[in-house]
Amino acid sequence: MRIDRSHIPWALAISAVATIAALGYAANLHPGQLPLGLKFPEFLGPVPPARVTYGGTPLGLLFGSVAFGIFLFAAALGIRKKKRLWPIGSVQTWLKAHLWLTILTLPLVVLHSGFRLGGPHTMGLVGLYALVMASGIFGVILQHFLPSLMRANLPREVVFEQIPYLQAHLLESAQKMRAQVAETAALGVGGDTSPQVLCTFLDKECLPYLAIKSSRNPNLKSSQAAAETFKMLRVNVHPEWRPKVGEIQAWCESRRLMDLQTKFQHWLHGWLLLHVPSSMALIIVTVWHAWMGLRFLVSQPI
Amino acid sequence: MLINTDSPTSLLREDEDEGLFSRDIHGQLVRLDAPVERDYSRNVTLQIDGQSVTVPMAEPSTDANGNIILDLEGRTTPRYTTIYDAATKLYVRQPGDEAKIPIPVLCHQSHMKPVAVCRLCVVQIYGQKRGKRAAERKLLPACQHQVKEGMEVFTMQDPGPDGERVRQSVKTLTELLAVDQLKPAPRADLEKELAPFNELGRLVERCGADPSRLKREVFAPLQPEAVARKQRLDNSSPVFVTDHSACVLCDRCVRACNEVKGNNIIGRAGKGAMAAIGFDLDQPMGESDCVQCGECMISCPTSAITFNPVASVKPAVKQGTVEKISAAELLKDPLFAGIPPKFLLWQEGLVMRRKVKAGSMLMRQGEAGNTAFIMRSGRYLTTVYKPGQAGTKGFFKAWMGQERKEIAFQVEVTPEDVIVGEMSCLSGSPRSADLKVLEDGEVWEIRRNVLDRLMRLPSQRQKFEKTYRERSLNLVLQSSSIFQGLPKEEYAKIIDYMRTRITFLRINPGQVLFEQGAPADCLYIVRLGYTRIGIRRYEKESRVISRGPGGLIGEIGMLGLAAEDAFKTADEVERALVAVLNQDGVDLAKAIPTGLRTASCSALGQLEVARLSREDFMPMLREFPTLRRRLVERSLGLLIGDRQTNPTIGKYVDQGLYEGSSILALDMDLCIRCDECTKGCAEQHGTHSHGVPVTRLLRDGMRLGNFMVATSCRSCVEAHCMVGCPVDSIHRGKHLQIVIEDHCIGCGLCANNCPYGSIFMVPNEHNAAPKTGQPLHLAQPKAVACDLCDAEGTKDEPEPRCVSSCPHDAAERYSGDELLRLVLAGNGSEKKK
Repeated sequence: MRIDRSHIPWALAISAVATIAALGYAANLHPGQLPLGLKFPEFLGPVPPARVTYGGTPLGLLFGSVAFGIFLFAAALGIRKKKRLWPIGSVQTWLKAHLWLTILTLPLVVLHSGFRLGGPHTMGLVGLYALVMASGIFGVILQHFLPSLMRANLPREVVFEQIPYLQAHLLESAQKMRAQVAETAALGVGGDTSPQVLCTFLDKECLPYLAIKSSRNPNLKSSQAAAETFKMLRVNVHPEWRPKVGEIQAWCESRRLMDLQTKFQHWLHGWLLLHVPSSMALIIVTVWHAWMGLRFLVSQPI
Repeated sequence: MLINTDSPTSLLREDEDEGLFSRDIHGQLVRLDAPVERDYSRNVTLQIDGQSVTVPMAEPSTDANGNIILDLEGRTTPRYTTIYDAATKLYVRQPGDEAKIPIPVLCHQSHMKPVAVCRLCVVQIYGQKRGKRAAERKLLPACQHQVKEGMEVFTMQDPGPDGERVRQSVKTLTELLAVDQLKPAPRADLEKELAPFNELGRLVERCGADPSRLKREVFAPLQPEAVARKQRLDNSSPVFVTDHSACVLCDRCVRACNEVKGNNIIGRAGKGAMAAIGFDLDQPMGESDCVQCGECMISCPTSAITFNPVASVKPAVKQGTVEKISAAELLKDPLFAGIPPKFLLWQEGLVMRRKVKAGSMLMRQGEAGNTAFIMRSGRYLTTVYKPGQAGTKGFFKAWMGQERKEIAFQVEVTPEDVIVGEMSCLSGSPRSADLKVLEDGEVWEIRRNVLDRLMRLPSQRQKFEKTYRERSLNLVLQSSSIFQGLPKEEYAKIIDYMRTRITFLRINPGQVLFEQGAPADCLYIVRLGYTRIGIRRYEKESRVISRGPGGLIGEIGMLGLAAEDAFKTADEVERALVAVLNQDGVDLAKAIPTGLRTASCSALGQLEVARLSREDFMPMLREFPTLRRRLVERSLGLLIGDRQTNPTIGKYVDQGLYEGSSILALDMDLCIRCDECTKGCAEQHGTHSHGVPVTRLLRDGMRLGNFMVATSCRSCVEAHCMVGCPVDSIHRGKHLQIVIEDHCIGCGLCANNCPYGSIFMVPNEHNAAPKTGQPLHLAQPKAVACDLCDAEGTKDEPEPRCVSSCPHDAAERYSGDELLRLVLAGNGSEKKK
């Protein structure tokens, strides 16, 4: 998703909520410093808080609960995407809410923790949270920049799922040409060496490049190097064989573009392999954290 | 053509080559030369059953839809007028009179080339032989035999001995055909609804033939192999059944398949007693490449090709009472008399009876119009609003009185006008007028394919085309910006001036209207379709634009302007023009030098244009000063614009985006290639249409700027796909989108017609053959296209799922103009929202 002007209201709203939360936190800890005679609401517990760990205070619990609620909502995006026909708001709004509300959890989690890492359990939780947030932000950055890069670098794209079939088709075409050229080379008409040159090129460069899943052939891998390679090949064959060289070049170019598209596609969606499982783990560990914390609160009243 | 022979000796000398020639009734050798254009103006007078009739020696050849065939230079191809044509002229005074022609036909149809294989149309001909009246030795087929001056023709209607000879011949031939090939309808319900079911049966009744007197046992029995072959019943197709034992080998199906539809699937197989029709290389119909369009079945005059009940037409209930009209009732009506009965039986529901109440609206300007109305009773008012002012605006605007529509013209129509609404029905464009019921009445609502069939009958076509032309003139001027806003009196005068001078032309896709540099001999106004205008500079096409309905073409050349005039002022140009125009007694067409075309122009699809010749254009400039000023200003503006080049516009035209009204474009700077649009589409439509989820779009296509135009229906302004659907299952929906109804037979014509590959042919699992464990699973295909997720027309605005499913706001629907504007502005990400 590209971060554009349409995100400004979300950014402003999130900033406002984060500011209010921070002010609440400050007011809870330093009530005397509130301006304009403002007072900390009584229903949010004693001022300053009686507990040493801020997460156990009413306001700290509120921050934690809201953050947990946002985690659940964020996880529901997956369900929303599967249930496309449910009339529960547009998927675009859901995605924006997913993005900005999870960013809101940053101040909420920090305030909930009272700027402390706590013990090994909460440290693990924070580490997992950091992983989820980092992978998510990384994903946002990728989705912001990669589509434009793809557009600029891939003059034509194919349906991603079709790439293996198309690559197999390219290889098959090259193999057919190899067989035809080899037949001509065997005849050895007029002492023309062009068929042999083409055969050698197909055997050593083209066919391995088209056959191997992720070929690193330096002569064909980049468009510039490929252009130079085929330029030389054209020089080395008789003019009547040059259309064949053009065909081979087109296959290699298609293959190069498909490889590039695959790479882009993996980058565009690969981060989800980390983000989604870690998010699920975060929810589970958060539930465990909440359960343990609440048990502690109940067992040790003030 | 007669060969002038100076003496009988020369004739004898030529006899050596008689293989190439034959003799005419004067005993002179004749050679059948192809007719030429000047034969159009040569009249021939002949007598048919004692009645005199004069016809031109040749007529222009027409295609199966009655359109005159033009070559690349726009010239017609003459064909000799036949005796049957002359009889048609004599007996057919109004639509439905075809039954009065006393020449029965079986293998001939007015829209097909005559082949004269059935010999049922035979007539006795008398001519002059060595100065004496002499009869032709043989009876000759009227469908193919050309007319000659002084010819006397006797049909089966003649009471004399010649008529008797013809009657006996036709009767015997009919009996011979009927004894073996006259079979009842394949289903009892069809026979009950329409008896006799087929044309051969009707012919038996007409001739009073008695096929039972000819028993086949009298003749030598056929070989078992031939019997088996002749008695084959081919039910391999889920839609049609072929019963070879009922085939009379009239070749109507062969011509329907090859000439009318151009499918080239049906031909003759075998010979002698083994002769039969065959699909591809004599394969069963269902296994051949047959597209199941049904043209052969409709053309078949017997029960040899009949239909299975696959899907029926669902009547669209709008208002008032709606009722299907049976085939039997339709055939009794003179208007429908010439339509093949099987067509009306096959697609019952294509003609609906509507009882309408005074005050109700039958159609509104700007709405989708898929049907035409044949007025049976009542009075109706047609109202045309000025462009851009029609259409429903919404409750509040209407309530607040903001919707002030300015009426362009109003006209009352009655059953005497026969038909209304035919323009949008034929062209697929939105309705061009409102139609209000003034007095309770009845209309027959007909679908496009019924209207197509009516148009194939020459008598109907003539009548409809006259009406069409009258109505088109007003609309073509209304739609052109150059004529809009003119004072009423001047506009009325222009209409009067043009009425007799303007001609309408239909241009085939790709046909060139004119080349750059050619002399400008006429002005064109686009009525329907789009043109491609390419401006060449330094041997390279530097600018390409398209012009659609209402667009003026060729005005620069007509005014005698050239590229170097771009920097002249309008006053300068007009002053020079007026100086010549105001001279008395000069031939204006010669006084003003003929300009040259500044661009090349060709048709992008099917195109209909109004044409005004230079001879009529020049006096118009003198008569109408406001129009002249506008033309000059516009031409100068275009000349300045022609100097600018933009490759994006070239791409836009080449990709046909100009004709899209709802193009699915993906902003490639936003799209993360997640395919949610495709998945959303398939999920939205579910299994209702095909039994399995089917997507209506492919996330693949050509690019324009930052956008990729996905392969999905664009709802073209001039829909190519709707042309020729045999069952009229494809038409426009509420939002002018393309909707394919369930009674699609899967012929694939729409998919072939779509230049953008946006219609997919998908096997319909609802209509699949039962699974038998065979590796080949046969299911009748059914066309599928994007209907903007509102096929039923229940939503006020279309909400396509492809757009709402996109999480990244990359997918959007645009009209061609909107998309071009976005791309030219270079802000793809700034969506129309």
